[in-house]
Parts: sequence; C-alpha cells; structure tokens
Amino acid sequence: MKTLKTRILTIPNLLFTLLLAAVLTPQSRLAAVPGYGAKMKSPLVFLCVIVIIELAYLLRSGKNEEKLKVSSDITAFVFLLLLAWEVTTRKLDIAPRIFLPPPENVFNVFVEDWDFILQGWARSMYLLLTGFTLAIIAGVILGLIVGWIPRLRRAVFPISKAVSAVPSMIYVPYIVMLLPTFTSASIFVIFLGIFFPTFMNMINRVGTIDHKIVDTARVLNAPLHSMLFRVILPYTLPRIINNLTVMLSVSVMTLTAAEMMGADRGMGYYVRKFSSEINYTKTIAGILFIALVVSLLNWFVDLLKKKLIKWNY
Amino acid sequence: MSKIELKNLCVEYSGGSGRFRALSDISLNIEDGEFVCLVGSSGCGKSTLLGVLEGLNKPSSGTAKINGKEFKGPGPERAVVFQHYSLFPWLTAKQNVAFAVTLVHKEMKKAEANAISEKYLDKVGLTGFMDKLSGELSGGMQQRVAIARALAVSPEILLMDEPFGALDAKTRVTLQKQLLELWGSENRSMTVVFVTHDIDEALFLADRIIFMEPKKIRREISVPFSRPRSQSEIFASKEYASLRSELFSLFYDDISEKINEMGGWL
Ligand SMILES: Nc1ncnc2c1ncn2[C@@H]1O[C@H](COP(=O)(O)OP(=O)(O)OP(=O)(O)O)[C@@H](O)[C@H]1O
Ligand SMILES: [Mg+2]
Repeated sequence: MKTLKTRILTIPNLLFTLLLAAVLTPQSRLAAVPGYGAKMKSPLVFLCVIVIIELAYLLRSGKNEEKLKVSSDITAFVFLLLLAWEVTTRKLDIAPRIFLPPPENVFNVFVEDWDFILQGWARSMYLLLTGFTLAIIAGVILGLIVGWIPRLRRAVFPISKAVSAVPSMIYVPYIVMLLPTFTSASIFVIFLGIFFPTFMNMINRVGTIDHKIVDTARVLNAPLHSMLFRVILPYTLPRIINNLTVMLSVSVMTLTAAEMMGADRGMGYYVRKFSSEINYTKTIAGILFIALVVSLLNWFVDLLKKKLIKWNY
Repeated sequence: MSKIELKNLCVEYSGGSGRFRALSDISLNIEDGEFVCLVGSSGCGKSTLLGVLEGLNKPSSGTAKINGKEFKGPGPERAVVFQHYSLFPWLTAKQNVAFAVTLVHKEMKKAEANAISEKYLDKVGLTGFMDKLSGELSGGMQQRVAIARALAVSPEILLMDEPFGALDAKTRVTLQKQLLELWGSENRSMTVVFVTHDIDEALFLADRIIFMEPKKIRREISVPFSRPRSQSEIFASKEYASLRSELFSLFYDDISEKINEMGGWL
C-alpha cells in the first residue's frame, strides 16, 4: 500500500498532472486583444508529447537505483520547463504570441510541416554523415601514419595546430562561395571542422603511446601494417570514440551555420527561412527539432562507445 | 658455435644529459639449450644487455650473434617476457596468444592459431580464463599468459626480464616451477636468458649464473644441481648454501664498494 503511494505521488507525476490541467483549462483573456494573441492551434500534438514523456518515465526500467533517480529528475525538469513555457505564454501572455509562441502551436508545426521537416532532416543527415565519416576515417588513418614517423610528426604537427586553431565557422562563407555546389561546400566544411582535431588528436596519441606497448609489438615481430592497424589503432580507439560526441556537436554546428548561409533545404535552412519570415513558431520548432536530432545522435554514439570499449586502461 | 655470442659489446644511451655508457666491453657465449640467469644490483645493465638480445637496443660497438649470424632487431626465433604486464588490453587471453602466433606464422589459419593458443594457455593452467580481457586477470595470470604467448611461437631462445619481479612470493615459486616444467617438456631444447634480482630464484632455475657489476660481467658461476630439480632438495643441499653465500658476498661487495665511493662524498 505504501509502496503504491510512493510510486504514484512522485514529483514527475505531480508535474504531469499540473501540465495536463494547464493545457486543458482556458487561455488568458489577453488572447482576445487583437494583434496580441495569435490563434491557438490544436493542442493534440503537445499533449501527445507530454503523454509520451510520462509513459517513458513510467515504463522506464533499470536495476540501478541511482540511475532511476536521475531519469526521474530529468523528467521532472522537462515537465517543469514545459509548464513554465505554457504558463508564460498561453496562460499569462507576457509577450505577444508572435514573439513568444505557446507550446501547442510550436509542437503542432511538426504535424503541419512534417514533409518539409523530414526532407530537410534527410538532406542534413546526408551531408553530416558524409562529411563526418570521411573526416574521421581520413583523420585517423593519416594521424596514425604521421604520428608514427617522428620526422613527419615534428614537421606536420605545428602546421596543423595553426590551421586547426581557426574556427571553421570563419571560413564557411568563403567555402560556400568558392565551391560549385552547396552539397560539396557543406561536406567540405564539415570535413575540415572534424578532420583537423581528429588528425591532431591521433598524432598526439600515437606520438605519446606507451613505449611498452610498442616494444611488446616489436618483439612479437609485428610488421608495420600490424603495428599500425592491429596495435596502435586499437590502443587509440577509446580516445577516438570518446571524442566522437564532441566532434558530432562541432559538425552539427558547422553544418547549420553553412545551411543558414547558402542552402535551399536542410534543418538549418528551415530555421533561417522562417526566422527571416518572422514566423518564430516555426523557427522554434526547427530549433527543437535540431536539438532532438543531436540528442539522438549522441545517444547512438554512447551506445557505440559501450559496445566497442570493453576494456579500461 | 654457441647459440648466442656477444663480443666486446658496448651500449650507449644518448639522452638529455649527454651520452651514457651502460655496458662496456661485454663478451659472453651462451650455449644451445642452456638456462642462464643474469644477476646483479639495480642499474648495472641487465635489462640493457637483454635489450640487445631482444633487438630493442643497438650495440654502439662490438658484435652480437645468434646462431653465428649478426642480427638486427627482433626475430621470430626469439620470444620475450617482460617484467611489466605486456598483454594488449583490448584482446582476451586467447586472442593475445593467437595474435603472437599469427605474427610468426603468417599463413596460418585463425582456427589453427586459436588451437595453439588454447593448448599453451592450458599448459600454464589458465583453461577457464581464455576469454577474459587482460584487465580482468590478476598479475600472476597475466604473466602466465605472457609466458604462454612466448612459448606458443616455439622460440629457440626465450628472453625473460624479471618476469616474476612484481609477484608475491608464493605465486613466484609456483611460476618458477611451472617454467622449469614447460622448459623440460620441450626437452630443454630452448635457450633461456633470465634476468633476476633474486639469488634463490637464480639458483633454482639456472645452469649458469652471470653476475654483473655496473657495465660489466663480474663473475660466472655454474650451478651444478641435476634436473629435474625440486626446490626442497636444492635448498637442503650443502652446495646450495655455499653458492648462496658466494653470491651474497658478491652482492655485499658491490654494496660496500658503493658505500666506499659515497664515503668520498660525505
Ligand atoms: N633509455 C635509457 N636512457 C638512458 N639511460 C638509460 C636508459 N635505460 C637505462 N639507462 C641507464 O643504464 C643503466 C643500466 O640500466 P638497466 O635498465 O639495464 O639496469 P638493470 O640492471 O636492468 O636495473 P634493474 O635491476 O633496476 O632493472 C642505468 O644506469 C640506467 O640509468
Ligand atoms: Mg632491469
């Protein structure tokens, strides 16, 4: 009996109820003022999102007490933010709704514009993953080779350090202008943004490799290709994978920046288009969508990490 | 022809503080199938000497020959066990050994290499631990895997640098016995060069003890005990006591010399 009570009377559940109540009760009177309150869209999508979060919270499983607590706190925070958003917009209308759109309208955009958004997503993912994958592969392999040859390492390292110190955002407009198509330009921009840090990281890691590992491989008569790809590469792998999360954020940032300059499709383009049309409801929806995509990608990288790194050292 | 021939060997390190001569004019022959222990106080150059045989250190002058031929770098006829645990942490025990096997037998199939790996891990008593990553093994177990890895390539020469130095006394004795058994099971055809600080270990294992002082060989002592050896028999014998006290006095000499040198300082 008591356990049932403690399971139902949780902060996330309480906030969920409050949120539902807020959505289902009438809006502020200011909404009637002409030019102030935009028309409310159907709250159905927003409600669905809330219910999905609540379901995920209720159905979450895990043996770890600590982790359960963390996920419950996260849910509580998300609900709190949504509640604050709902209250400041639809309930109090502290600013005109064109500037501060209520969550119902924003979430409804996902249904209104789903094909446009999905197309943009596919486009962006194509550019992102192409540039990202090419850069990681090139950075790792070249870094491996350059790092392994001391003379090459000493010459190349300071140069690439200087080059990589320049934030890729700075040369985005130039490259978008320079290259014939936007596709090639944005892939190239992402490539540059990821390549140099990966390359340098790799050189560093290979150059400072534990000499015991190298000595062991040498007395085992490892030829050069085994030394590079079966000893040094696995030795550096955890570092590479750990960096993927950061690299992913960097590439999303560069891509969106590039898309805001020259694209005719894509997630960043969507945000730019509607913010220049002063449609902030769609702008915010676009931003939320990008955040969601990035979170899912990071989650995927974390999964990869757990799969690939089984050893600690 | 001796298995290993070192003639007027010098090794110099060049580092931040200039050139340092670690070995000076070493001449030493080691016969086929001999078990030799290098003994001496810390810093006298044992690892440096072994490093030459491993092919990791280059002599600055003099010659080093194996089977009558000068060698450059490591070779498949030699296998090494280091003091530090030298397994690759991303591989399991079985994969570690199999990896070494495929590096020596390049055309061998994976399944065959795995079978050899299992056979040698069996021999060192790790049957139930083959699929564990090295980080999941104790120090003694890791060193057993390293021994299995070295033996699995059927080397002519086994080079060991204080392989049991980091282990507790009991594990150490167990592994010493195991090593002698393994060596015996291959008809003692393998030549072993084994570095140690531990006089008892050297007396139990070696046919010959090379006692080193800094940069040089000070004395060579034959160890006459018959094989197979049992520790309790050896420890009880008179010869053991006299050999042991001889070695101890060498160690002690070394230290008293050092103290005299320091006396000039104080
Ligand atoms: N890489 C190196 N660079 C410079 N000097 C070195 C290097 N390795 C060893 N030495 C020096 O060479 C000498 C011999 O070192 P070595 O490691 O062969 O001694 P050791 O007999 O194996 O000692 P221990 O029993 O402590 O392992 C020492 O004085 C050491 O300082
Ligand atoms: Mg040493």
